[in-house]
Formats: sequence, C-alpha cells, structure tokens
Amino acid sequence: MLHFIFPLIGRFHPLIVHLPIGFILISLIFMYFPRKDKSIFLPTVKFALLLSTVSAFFACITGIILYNQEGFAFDTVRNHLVLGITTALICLSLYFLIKKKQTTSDPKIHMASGILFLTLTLTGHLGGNLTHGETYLTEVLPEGIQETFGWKIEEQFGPLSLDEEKWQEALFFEEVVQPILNQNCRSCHNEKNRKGDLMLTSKETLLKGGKNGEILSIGKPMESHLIERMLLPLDHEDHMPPKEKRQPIKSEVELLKAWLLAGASFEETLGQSEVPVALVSSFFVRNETSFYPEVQLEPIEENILKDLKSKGFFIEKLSEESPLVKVSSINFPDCENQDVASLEPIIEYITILDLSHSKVNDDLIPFVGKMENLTLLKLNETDIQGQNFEILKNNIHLATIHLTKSQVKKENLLKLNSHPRLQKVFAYDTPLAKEMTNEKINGLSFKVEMGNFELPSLPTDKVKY
Amino acid sequence: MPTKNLPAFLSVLLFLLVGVILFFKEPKTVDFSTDVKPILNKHCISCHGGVKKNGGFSVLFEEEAFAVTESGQPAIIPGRPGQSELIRRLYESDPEMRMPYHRPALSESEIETLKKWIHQGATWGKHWAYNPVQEPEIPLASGKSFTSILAKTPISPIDYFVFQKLEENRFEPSPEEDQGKLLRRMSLDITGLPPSEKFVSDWNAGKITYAQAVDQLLDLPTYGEKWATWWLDMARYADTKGYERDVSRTMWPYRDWVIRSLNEDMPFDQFTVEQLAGDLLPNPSEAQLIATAFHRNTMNNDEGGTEDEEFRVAAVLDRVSTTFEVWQSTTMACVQCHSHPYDPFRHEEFFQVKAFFNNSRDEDTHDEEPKLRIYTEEEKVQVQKIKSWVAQNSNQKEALAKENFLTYQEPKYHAHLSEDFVNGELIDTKWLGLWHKGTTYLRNIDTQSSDLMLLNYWADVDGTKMEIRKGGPEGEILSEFTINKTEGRITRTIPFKKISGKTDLFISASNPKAKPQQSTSAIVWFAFIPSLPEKDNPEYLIMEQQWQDLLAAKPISLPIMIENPDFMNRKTHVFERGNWMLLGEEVSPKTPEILNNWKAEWPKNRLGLAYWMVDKENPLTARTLVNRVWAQLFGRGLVNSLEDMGTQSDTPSHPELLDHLAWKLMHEFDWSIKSLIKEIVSSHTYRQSSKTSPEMYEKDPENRWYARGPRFRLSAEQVRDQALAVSGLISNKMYGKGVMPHQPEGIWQTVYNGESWKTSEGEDQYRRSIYTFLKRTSPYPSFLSFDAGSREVCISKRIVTNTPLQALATLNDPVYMEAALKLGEKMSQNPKKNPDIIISETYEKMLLVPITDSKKKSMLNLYEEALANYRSRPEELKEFLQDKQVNANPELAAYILVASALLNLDEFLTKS
Amino acid sequence: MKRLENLLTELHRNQLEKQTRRHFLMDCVSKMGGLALAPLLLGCETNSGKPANSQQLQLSARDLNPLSPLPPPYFAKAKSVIYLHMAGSPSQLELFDFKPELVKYNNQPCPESLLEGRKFAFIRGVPNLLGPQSNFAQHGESGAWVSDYLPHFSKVVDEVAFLKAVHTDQFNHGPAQLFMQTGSPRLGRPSLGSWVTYGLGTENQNLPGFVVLTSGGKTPDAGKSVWGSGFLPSVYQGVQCRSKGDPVLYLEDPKGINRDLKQTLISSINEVNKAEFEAFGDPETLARINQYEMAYRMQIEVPEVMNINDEPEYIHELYGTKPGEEAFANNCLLARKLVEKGVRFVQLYDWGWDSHGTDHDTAIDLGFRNKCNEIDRPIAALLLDLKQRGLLEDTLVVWGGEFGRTPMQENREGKTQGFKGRDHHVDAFTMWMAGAGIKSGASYGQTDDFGFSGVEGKVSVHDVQATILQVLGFDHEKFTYNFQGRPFRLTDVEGEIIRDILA
Repeated sequence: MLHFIFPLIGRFHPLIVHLPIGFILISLIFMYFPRKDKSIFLPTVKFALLLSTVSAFFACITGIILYNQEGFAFDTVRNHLVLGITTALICLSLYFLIKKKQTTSDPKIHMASGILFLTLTLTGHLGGNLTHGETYLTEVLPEGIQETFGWKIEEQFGPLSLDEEKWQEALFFEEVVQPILNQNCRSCHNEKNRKGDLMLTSKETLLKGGKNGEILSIGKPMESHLIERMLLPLDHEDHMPPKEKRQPIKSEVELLKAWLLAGASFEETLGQSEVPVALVSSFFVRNETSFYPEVQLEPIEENILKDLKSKGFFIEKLSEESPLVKVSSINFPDCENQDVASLEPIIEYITILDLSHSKVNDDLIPFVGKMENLTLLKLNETDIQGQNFEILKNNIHLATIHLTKSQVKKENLLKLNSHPRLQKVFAYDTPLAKEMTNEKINGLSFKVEMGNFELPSLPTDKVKY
Repeated sequence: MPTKNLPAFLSVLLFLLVGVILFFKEPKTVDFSTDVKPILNKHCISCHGGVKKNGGFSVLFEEEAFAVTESGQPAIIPGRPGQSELIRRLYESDPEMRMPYHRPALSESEIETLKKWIHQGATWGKHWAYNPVQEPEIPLASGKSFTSILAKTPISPIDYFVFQKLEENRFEPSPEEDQGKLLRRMSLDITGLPPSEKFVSDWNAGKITYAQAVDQLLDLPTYGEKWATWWLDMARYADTKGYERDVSRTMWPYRDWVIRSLNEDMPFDQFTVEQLAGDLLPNPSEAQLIATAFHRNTMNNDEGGTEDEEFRVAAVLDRVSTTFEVWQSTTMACVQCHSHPYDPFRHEEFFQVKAFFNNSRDEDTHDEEPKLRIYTEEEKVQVQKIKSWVAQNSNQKEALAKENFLTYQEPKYHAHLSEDFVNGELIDTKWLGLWHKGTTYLRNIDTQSSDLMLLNYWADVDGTKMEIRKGGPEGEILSEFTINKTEGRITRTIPFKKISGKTDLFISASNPKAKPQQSTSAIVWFAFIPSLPEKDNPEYLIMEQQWQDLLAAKPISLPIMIENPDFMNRKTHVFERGNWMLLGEEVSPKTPEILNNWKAEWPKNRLGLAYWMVDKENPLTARTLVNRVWAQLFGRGLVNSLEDMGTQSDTPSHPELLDHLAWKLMHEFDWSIKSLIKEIVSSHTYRQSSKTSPEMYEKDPENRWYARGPRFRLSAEQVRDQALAVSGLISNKMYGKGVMPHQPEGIWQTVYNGESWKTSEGEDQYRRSIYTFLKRTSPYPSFLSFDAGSREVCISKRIVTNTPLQALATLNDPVYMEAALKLGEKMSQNPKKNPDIIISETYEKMLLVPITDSKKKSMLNLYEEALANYRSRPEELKEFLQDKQVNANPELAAYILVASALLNLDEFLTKS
Repeated sequence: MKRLENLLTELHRNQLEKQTRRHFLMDCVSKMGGLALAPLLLGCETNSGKPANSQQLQLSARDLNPLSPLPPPYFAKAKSVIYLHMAGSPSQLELFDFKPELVKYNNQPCPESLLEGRKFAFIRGVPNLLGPQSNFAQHGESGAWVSDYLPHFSKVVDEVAFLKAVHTDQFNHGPAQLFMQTGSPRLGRPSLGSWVTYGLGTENQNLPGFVVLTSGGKTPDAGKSVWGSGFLPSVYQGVQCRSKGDPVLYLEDPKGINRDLKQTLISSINEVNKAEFEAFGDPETLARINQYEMAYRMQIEVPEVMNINDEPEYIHELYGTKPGEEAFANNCLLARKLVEKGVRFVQLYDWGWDSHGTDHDTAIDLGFRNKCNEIDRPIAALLLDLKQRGLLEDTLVVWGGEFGRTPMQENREGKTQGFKGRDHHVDAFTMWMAGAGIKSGASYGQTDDFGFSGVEGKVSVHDVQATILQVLGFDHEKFTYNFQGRPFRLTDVEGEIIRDILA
C-alpha cells in the first residue's frame, strides 16, 4: 500500500538540495566576509557547516532514492551523483578541519573551501541539466555562440551536392562520403546516440567500427558491413538504415561502394580516385532559380476568392504552400475585359493567367501589365492583336506567352523585343506566323514557336508487311 | 514552542499525513483496450509492433511489450512509470531520443493515461473486438427527457442505447417519420422495391400495424433478392472467371441458393457452415454442395502461359482473406507478408488458417473442376440405382465412391501435372499434347489399384498408339491403347494394370501420320475408378451402360469445393515475405490465438473452422453480422469501417448496442437474420424522421449518433429496380442464369474471348438487377457508375459517390427512358385528364407522400413547356415516340418527359 | 471550415425566414445564369477538400463536386498527362535498344547462364537468340538510336527522354498491366490516373478528369481495372470515351428531345431538388443538383471535343487519322484536344503488341511492323502538335508497354516456330517520356550486350510512377489514402525519382 513512500521521499530531492547550497554558501560567506577578525564568526561557521553537511547527506540520500525510483540510467546521473557525494564529504571534512584548527584562515582550509565551492556549483549545474535538459542554459544563447561551443544538439545535414565544374577536386571522404553518412546514418550513430556502439562521424570512429567489429573492408565494398547492411532486403531485420527511416538513394550507396573500392582513402579527391562522372552527376547542384517569383504574401482572403470564383473564374493556388495563384477562364467562356478587371484585388497574386478561348481583347493588356508576378500568360484563340504589347515589359517575371490561334501581328510581337525575362512566345496559326520569316526570329530576344510542323509522307507509310 | 512537545507534534503530523493518504482511494482504473491500446496504436505501433520492432521493443503482444529490449531492460516496468523507458522517452529533449520518433509528441493527457496504466500495474488486455460478446445492461434510465417527442412510437432496447449517447452529446431524437415515407423506407430496405399498391392502401387505411407490415415485407420473396445482393458483394459472386480472358462460368445456382436460404431465413450459423464446408457434412445434400460454391467465386486464370499452381495459391489466399473479412471483419491480407502491424495476428497464423483451405481439389484448371453435376431427376434416379447396385454387390465405401464420381468426378489427376516433355507440350499451358514419338511423366500417381483408367481428351488424328509404363521408358506396361479422332471431348474407359502405392507414369505416343509438332491428342485429365462389380451378373451390362451414359452426360455443372482424398493431400508452408515460391516452415490447421478456443470435438478441417466461426464464444462473427446489417439500414455501421473491426478500425459509436444485438442474435434469435432486421426496423431510431437542420448537420454530418433517421442514395440495383417497379415494367420471375438487359454496343472487348452480350428476350429484359449477367472485366455500365463493384474481390462496403455519369444514366439509358415511357403512358391514360391531378397522383404513387405546391409547379411547368414544344414540332414528336406508340400525341410525350423528371428526382433516387 | 459555418448559419436563417431563404437560393441561382450552377456551388463551398483527410465528411468543394480541383502539394511542372500504353508490350529490341552483339549471335543457343532461375511465359528449354529484325540509326542532336520501324518518330527523338533499363516483376499481361498502372499486380488498387484525378481534381468542369481511349479492338488484358479506382471512390475511375456510338455512355439525348427541352427538364428536376434541399437540408442533394448541371454541360462539351471532323485537313494529314474508325491515330488527336480542354489525365491503350511469332500478325518482322506503322506517324504528330500549341510545356507524355520482349526467339512450349517472335521479358525494356519537366533528348540506363538485363541506370515500375507523380507536384511517399486501417501509396513502399531524366 505505502509503495508510494519512497518515490515520494525521492521527489523531495529537488527541494532539499537547496538547503546545503544555502548553508554552504552562508558558511563560506561568513568565513571570508569579515575583513579583519575572522574568528568572530567561527562558531557560526561551524554550525553552518554542520547544517550544510547534514543537509548535504540528506540531499544525497533523497537523490539516490530518486535515482533508482525514477530509474534514471546510471551514466546520465553519474557525475551529478559522484559530485554530490563529494560535496557532502568535503563539507564534512572542512567542518572537522575548522573544528580542529579552530580558525578559518589556513591554506588547507582555503583549498578545501575552494574545492567545495567548485563541486557545489558543478553539482548544482548538473542537477539542473538533469531536470531541465542538457541544453537548458545554452539553448537561450544566440545560435552563433551555441555552434562555436558545439552545444547545438540538432544538427541539420542537407543532401550531398557537388559543383558541376570542380567536382573532381572534391575530397572523396570529407566532401562526399561523410556528407552521405551524415544524412543517412548520423542521426543514430553520433556522439550522443551511438546505436550499436557505432559512430559514423569521423575518420577515426569509422575505422573503429561498432560492437560487431570493423565495418569497412577496404577494396571489398560488398564485404563491408557498412554496405552489406544497406543492401539487405528492406524488411530484413539487419537492414540499415531501419525500414522506417529515410533510405539512401541508389547512387549514394554506389558512391560509398566506389570509395571502398578505391581504397577508402581519407585524402584523395574524387578525381584521384577516378570516379566516373556518371556516379556523381545526379548530385550536381542545378542552381536553377525557381520559375515562379519568390514572394512574401498573405494567402488570399477566402471571401474575396469566393466572389471571384462565383463570377466563374477558376482560381487555384500554385501549390499547397504558395500564396500565388493560377487564374483561368476555362469554365467562363464569356469572360470579357471588365470581368478580368474584377481580379484587381488579387492582382499581385496572379502568376499564371489563362484567358484562352475568352472574349478579351487588346484593351485588357494595360491591366495585365499591372500583374507584377505574372509569369505565364495564355491568350490562345482570342482576338488579341498585341497593339500595346510593349506594356508587358513591365511584367518583369513574364517568361512565356501563349498566343496560339490569336490575332497577334508581326509588328506587335516586335514590341516585346528585349523584354527583361520573356523566353518563349507561342504563335502557331496566327497572322504573325503567316507573315514572319525565320531569319527575323533570330533577331528577337526570345524564341517564337510558329509550328506548322509537317511529317512528309514516306513510301513505307502504306506498306503492309 | 517547548521542545519536548516536538516529537508528539511530529507524530500527530505523520498520522494525519498517512490518514489523508489512506483516505484517498486509488484513482479510476485505466482500461487497457479502451484507454491505452488506442494510444499505443496511434503513436507507437507503427514502429514498435509487427513488422518493425525498433530497439527490440514491440507493443503488439503482451510478452513482447514486457520483454527485455535492446537497452537491456524492459521498457515497461509495472508500477514504476518513472522508471519505465516507455514513459521517459516521451519526455526526452533530444529529438533523436524523444518518442514518437520525429513525430509530434503525445498530449499530456495521453502520457498521463499511460503513466496511470503502468502505475496501476500495466495489466494487459484484449481489444474489445476480441473479447467474447457479453450481454450488456440496457440503460432503461436514458431518454426520459425525450418522452414528448416519442409520444407515438414504442421504445425498443435499441433506442435506450441510442438515447444514452444522444444525451451525452446533447442531441434530441427526431419525431417519427411521415407514415408514407416510413413505409417506403421500410419497403426499400427490406425488399429493395417500393411497396405494392395494395400494401400501400392497406397501410394508409390502417388495416395493418407497423409490426405486421414488417412481417409481411420480410415474407415477400423479394426480400431474399434484396439481401442477396448484399451478400453476393462479399461472396464476390460474378458470372465470369476474371483475369485476362474472363470467360463465362456457371455460378448462378449458387446465387439462387443464397436467395432461397435468405428467404427461408436459414439461421446464419447454418448459412455459414454450408457455404464454408457443405461438402464435409455427412452425406451432403445437393443444396449443401451448391453452397460451397461460395469459395469457388475466386477468380480463375485462363491466360496462356500462366502457371495453374500460382493461381490456385492465389485463390486459396483469397479464400483465407475473404473468410476473415466476411465473418471476422479482419483484414488478413497484410499478415500474408508479415505479422499484422495492428491486429494481433501472427504471420504464421495466416498460413495455419490457410492450411484449412489448402486441401480442396480445385487447381485453377480451365474447366474449374471439381464441378457439381446437377442431374435431371431421371439421371439422379440412375445414380442411386448404380449406387445401391454397387452397395449390394460390393460395399458401401465403393458405392459412395461411385456416387461421388458421378456427382463431381473426383478424384482425378489433371494434365497440367505432366512434366519432362520430349516431343510434347502443355497446349496453351492447359492440356497434355504429345507429338509423334512424344513422351512425358506423370509423377506420384496413386491409382488406388484400380483396374480401369478414365481418360478425358479429344483428338483430331486417327491411330495414335498410346503406352503407359511404370516408372519410365523401360518400366512394365500398365496400359496400351489407340486414340482416334473424336467428336469433341470424351471420357473414355481404358483397362489398366492394377498396381498399388504411388508410382510415376511414363506416357508415350506414336503416330507417324501426325504432322511434325502436331499434338496427336489433347488430354484433359486421368482418373482411376475400378470397374463395377459382378461382371457376369446379367444386370451388369445395364448398369455399365447407365454408368457410361452418366459419364457422357453434360448436365449443368457448378464449381464447388471438394476436399482432397488423403493420398492427394497437400502440405501447407509459410510463405517467406508472402512469396509463394519461398516456402518456410510447414504448418498445420490452427485458428488464431487471440480469438476463441478450439473445441476438441471439431474436425481439423474447413468444417471445424466453420463450427469455430459460429461458436457463441467467437467474438467477431455475430458483431460483424450485426454491424453489416445495421449499415445496410442506416448507411453507416456502428463500427464505421465495415471491412475491419480490428484495433485499427474506427471505435464503435455504440459499443454496448453492438454487443446487445450480437448477444440477442445468438441467444434469442438463434442467428435469424430476419429477426435481427425486424428488431432494428422496429426501433424508434430507425423510424424517426430523416430531416436535418444546419446545426444538427454541423454537429453530426455523418449522423453517427442517430438524432435523425437514415437518408442516403439507393444502391445501383435498387435505382434500376425501383424505376422498373414504379413503371410496372418489372418482371417478378426468379432464379436461373444471368440475363442481359439492353446495353450499348461495344462494351465487351475482352481479349481471346469470343463471347458477346446478347440482349435477352421478353420479360428477361426487366428482371431484377440481381439477375443481370455480371462480367468482371466489364460489368453492366450503369451499375458501375452507381458504385456497384466488379466483384473481383470481396467488397464489404460500397463507397457512395455522386457523379454526372449517374445523371446521364438515369436521364438517357434506354432502360430509364422505357420506364419513363410506360409511366407516361399510365399518366396519359389516366381518366382524370387534369395534368395537375395526374402529376400529383403519380408523384404520390412513387414517393408515398403528397407533392408540395412548389414541386408541383415545377413539374406542371415542365409539362406545359414540353406540351407546347411537341404541339409546335410534330416532327420531334414522331422522332420521340417513333413506332413505340400508336396513339402518339403531344400530351403523351409531355407526360413521358414529366415521368423522366420524376424518375430523376433526388428524393426518388434516395432512401429517406 | 469558415465557409461551412457561413453556409450553415445562412441556411439556418433561411429556415427561419422563408423570405431570406428564397433570397439565398435566388442569388445563387441568379449567379448561375440559366444553367451554370457551378458558381453557386463554388460560391457556397469551403476550400477544405484535402485528400489527406478525405474520409471525414464536411461540406467542402469536394462534397459538392468530388472532381473539383485542388492545388498540388508542390510546384508542378505538368498539369496534364497523356499516357500511351502499348498493351501486349512491343519489342524494345526492334525499336530503341540497339544491340549489335545480338546480330552476331543470331540463332545461337542462348547462354544457359542467362536462363538460370528465370521463368518465361512460353519459352521452354534452351531457346536461340534472335537478332534485331530492324535497321537502326542515330537521329537528332541527341543521337538517339531508333530503328527504321519508326521513321516518323525518329524525327522527333530530341523531344523525348528514354528509359532504357526499366524492369518489372510480372511476366503475364494481366498482372503486369495492373502493376504498371496501379502499382500492384493484384486487383483492387487505384490506377495512376485515378490517383492523379483524386489528388488534383480537374479544371474543366464540363469534362471528365480522367479519360480512357482504346484502340486495337480490345480492352487491355487486365480489363477495365487498369483504369479502375480501386479503393478510391468510383468517381475517380477513368471514363472510357468511345470512338463509336456515344463517346461517353448515355451522353446522347433520346431522339426527339431538343436541347431547350432538355434544359427545361433538368432545371425542373433541380428546382424540385432545391425544394428538397430546403426541406431536408441534406448536402448530398446540393451535390446531386451540381451533377445534373454538369451532366448537361458534358452533353454539349464532350461531343464537341470528341468530334475530330472539324479539325483542319492539315492536322488530319499530320496524324494520319482514319475518321469514323476506331484508330490509334484518332485517339492521339483526341488526346491533344482533351488536354487542350484541360482534361487532367488521358490514357490511351492500343492493343495487339503481343508479338510471340505464333502467326503472321504476331511476327516480329511482319504483324509487329504493321503495328509500328499504325503508331509511328500519330505519335510523332502528337508530339509536334502539342509542341506547336505550347501544350508540351505543361503536358507529360509517357510511352511504354507492361514489360519487354526476350532477346531469344520464342520456342512456344519447346516448338520451333514458323515465325519470328519474342516472349514476355521482365528484366529490361524501354519506355520514354516527353514534355513538361522532362529533360528532352536524354537517355538513361543501359542493357547488356544481349539487351537481356540492365547494367546501369536500372529503374523499376515504381520508380517510373514516382517520377510521374513528381512531375505533377506530388511526393509519392506522402501521397497516401487510408484504407483498411493503413495508408496506401501508388508506389507501395518503393519508388525512387529518376532525376536524370528531369529537366
């Protein structure tokens, strides 16, 4: 019935520890505070120290009870526990020392009290960490500081990436193998959390291996546990990384194999190990900037959206996260300029505008010109001729214009020349396509697709075999 | 204070303290299955259970949960929450250590529950669904406050359970539904059709009470047809084999058996036993054999190049999964590859269950043997004659063997067993074809020391010398015979040397006349049946003749389940990772640990399994049935996930109600489905109005608390049947082979399959939908768009959707146009001649409630416009009515349009 | 959710005051402009129809119209897909995978080592190798190898990216087609197209989101389940549009009912349904109203888009169409028209590619070559036509069979055959993709000298599916649906995106 008693006492530890702390401090203060006659406080000091010792031991006892009631792992509490007890013992010895010497000014005593102070603070700090977590103190510090002191616990490791030009100079281990390990293995094989006594954080630890011995057999990738484990069938219990964790992609494993095959050197570069480009090509950073503009916008308000949709517009976000939208008149064939004008409230959101098959005409272009994030404009099968296309130069993000089967004219298209971004214009089956000649296109700052492709018939077409 | 009092003071304090502590009684005990297991399933089990046992820890099985983990100590230490790794990991600050791994942390209350549970000794328990059904207390106290609403209807036990929840959720039940609507609801639910006019008038006249109405409806033969549809979805009944060629098969006798059994209200336990193991019952009746076709509804693959064994195995696995989905609401499919991540069924247990099913004779052969030969009455008499003759002149065992062979032609060996061909092939991987100088082996054949061999084959060339030798080319000759051209397939009796025990047969053919690589014959199967006794008895010849006639007869044949004779027994192995080629340890028939115990008196075969299923101790069978019947009536199960009642299933909305009905079903109704249905439809819960208010809808969109009556779209079959019924087209002809109502051209385009859709004649076009021919690879289109499945696998729940294709079907499908036409005719022939009245009457006939003015206005308006249109455009009128009508007139056309509109009304397509 | 409340409170008010109720409906109706009810529903919807929590019912766009569009999780390269499936599986060795070595070994017995542990559908014993029956040459700037069986296609190779070492694990048609289209060889899983329409809905509200066109006179071996919706609601299954009879079943009005009359018919049905909704407040009724509106609009739009006669002569020549027939060429043209109209997923099946060499029609150098002729021009035309209309910018085109063909001459059941044929082969075959998000002119993967199995750049069926989903803006690992208590994925537990062919 009273099985709760011990846990209960145990849980008084956090309270009781403060007694010795207080007492010890006060004793130390009384020992060193008085400038001249240090002996006046002697009795007080002795009494304080006595109290300190008693409470310190009590603290230790409650502490130990707490430890095995709450079943902390020993190594987590070890230092705190040892230091705690030491503190108590030093406290005791200091008490007897002073009792014997009948003075507080004695080198031995100074030393002892010094140590006492030290252990006290340390014990306290460790205790704090135990209750509030390792990073309790540090995590409030600015990240920079944390990193410099290596206090940061959550390390983020991005996927392996290599420079397309200079990949051969990349160090095979430093810049390829370790990053791969970091991303796939480190979370369970690091300083804090060494599953299977294995760390995959450095050359040394890698060579050291884990509880099942070495994990690398140089030159024989398939015999290295490191690789073996990765290649086991996914639902094999020894498979690494565990089924539910992120799995290394084939090319990553291939690289690790290549590294072992090439002698698992920690100095060589990819070039020196003669790694074929095919192995690394998939890691080249394509520094393509997103096709769509990067923006900071609040998502459009629901009720605005509601109204516009009820007009008949199709409006959908480009992706679940992005606030930018695609607007289309696909279900709104009667859409005219003024209907489009009603998009004013969301104008900066419009990234893709598709008014194909609608009733809009050139007078709309000035309004379109105001769509700062417009990237893709579709005006297929409209009466657009493009008289005022120069306005579209304001749409600095505009990359593609679809004018298939529109009324766009050659001279109007030229107005778009040297547009800041425009890359492609589709003008199949337009007046433009009819009048324009190929050499003219080359002069333009963007490509024009005029189609009219043909597949000349061949003798084989009609043959029956 | 004086120091000497201190001790006293302290001791007083201590006593007080202890007293206080003793005074506080233990807190409410945490229940494992309702409180703890859900949390474990939600957060832990995906990594610590079944497939994955991360850190060597699993919360799937009790012993695993308390076992020592990789860390060297158990993760759960009863009574010591703080000490239990399980709890500590929930608090960790290091994201690599904190559980659930890289997922949002548990809520405080969840952690508290877990701590409490451990603190209270961490007693393991079963998930509710695996505990035997107990009779729960009926909460008679509930619903007191509702009396005003419930003035009229009597209150059934069901209602008390429902009211209890309503009160908990601050709901009120709805008043009883309008009588007309109620009758329609009831009739559609029980018979799948609207009530007959007579019935309606009696009802309106108050001649029949509610209870009588229910009984009368349940007694109608249409009841069986409605509920058979529900069962056939689970039985995956179809009229074709499935897979690539998907050719027709004869399955309809089974469909008819289901309808009959339901109409006879065959108790569900018997219903179960006969379907799972009718063949194993002591001298089974024909009907009982037909019942076993339940498990022959598995697909059968005729695709060339496929290995029969692979698809036999596929069929057997499907039988295991289906059996458990249908009777136990348990998804077994996953356990096929690994221990079930969620339900406590072990990998090997799946195969122990499989062992029950692994010894049926069927082998995915092209002919789907074994087949029950459904003889004519005369033929049956002959069979009996032969039987008794053999009984007199030989012994009962022989007699039975002969009868069995005549009834389903087993045991026999199929050609696909032949191997090691020289100059020979397995034609289209089906039949044994030996060329000139061709040889092959049939291995491990037990001829039961028969003096005859029956050979089923056909041949296109004359004079092929056949030889069968023992063991190999040099072995002794067991049989020699010549094969000549045949008229199609024949079963021929050939003398065979008596030998005992298993032997390899070496078969060789030679026929110089055959073209190179031409098969001299196509052999389908071999059987070894001793000749009839008493050769010199004068009657012998007659008997022999009858025997031959019966062998040659081609009666309707239905694939059925027949158990292997001992000498043909198969071993059952675990499949490593579910791969049928990777055999693991051998297993023998056994039912899963967690469920009810096996009784010694049960035979260790399908029959025993069936008994085990319907044993009152089985926790799932009754609950499953109740849940599914309930779903049929309310559109939603008490456990919403009909296919799964396991630990991952939705928690039941009314657990006690579920158990109450399950208990009643077994102990009071003796498994009578009709009684169960009556019990439910008699409750106020069922009878209440389906009207919903926005706030009610907002609070309970799915109507899981039943504050209103059921309202949902009718099933594909009901939609069609109802249209046929109200227009008077429907045929009440029952049973027989599948019919083919009109279907657009070019729907059937299956490869390597000559069959085509031949529209049925006469009334067969208007039979109830359950009789419509169902081709798996291309089912009747309008059924498909109304969410009926293609019946390739067991479906326990149809997802109801709402699509334009449905609208197109009910607007334009000739079936519905025809219904509209008939209905329109009726309207135009109505003597009253006043569209206003006629429309109102028709509407009321169809929906059993008077039409509202606004609705009438719309319909009238339609009538007027249509009328105007056809008056002004006679050519359209002609087009519209074509030669269908002698007395073609604009009125008729207009009425037809109105009829079509009525047939398309939401309220008409919906049960409410 | 916000909107749901709005609507419900509104409805509530309506119930109190008849007047306002009329009002509510009226202004929804007035918004409709005659029959266009969609705005009403869009107007009254909430936006919370996420597939992720699809099971829970709430009055969302998806309840009113299960096909209403949703944004992809990530920026999508492609918005539509045209999938050309050659049912029966064409021979990669006669078309794209040029193996000079095989020429040398023609008619030599196949090395035992290759056959060990392999199963074939019909080949028994030790078959002979069969050299390529066509002449190969390199084409375009990419220098891709294409045989003279595809003279027109070879002109557009620079548009496509080849996968030369695809492998599957099913060697019978039915299972293999299911595996390719649903990610599982067994029945009951949703098809690729169903997944996509379920995830993205469809933009054009007057057309189905997932259209299936078949040619070759047969449906694929695995039947309609290759475009079935498996455990997803059946509304996401492919709608088969036919080139004979009604393009969509029951689309055509019965004779003698003109459009106006039909319009009156449908609007009166919906008037009654509205009244029903007011009385019973079941949102399903609203949904039904919407479906009838959509049905009506489909009746106008579908015949329009399915009618190729209005296309200019030039286009007909380009595709080599056969008006009035069920032809692959027509289907290619239809495919373009459909994506042009905003259809999400167009699936073409052309049957008749199972070239076993058992007769003239299935002979690799005869019947097979005729089949190639049937698709050569149409496919080239499709790519060019999509390109010139700028549709290739946001349309993904996929081509392939369900598996490949053996480098060995088929010896059906040990027979020597009169015709040259190849058996089913799972270890290596060629597929290609083109259009949105694809690195045109690329070629990934290589097979051994016999073209028997991949030596580098092997990709599995799940990899291909993962890549398609990626291009559409999905993470194939996160795109799941809960069924039988567990989340299901198109790519099961596998699948790796083939980055090397992505632009």
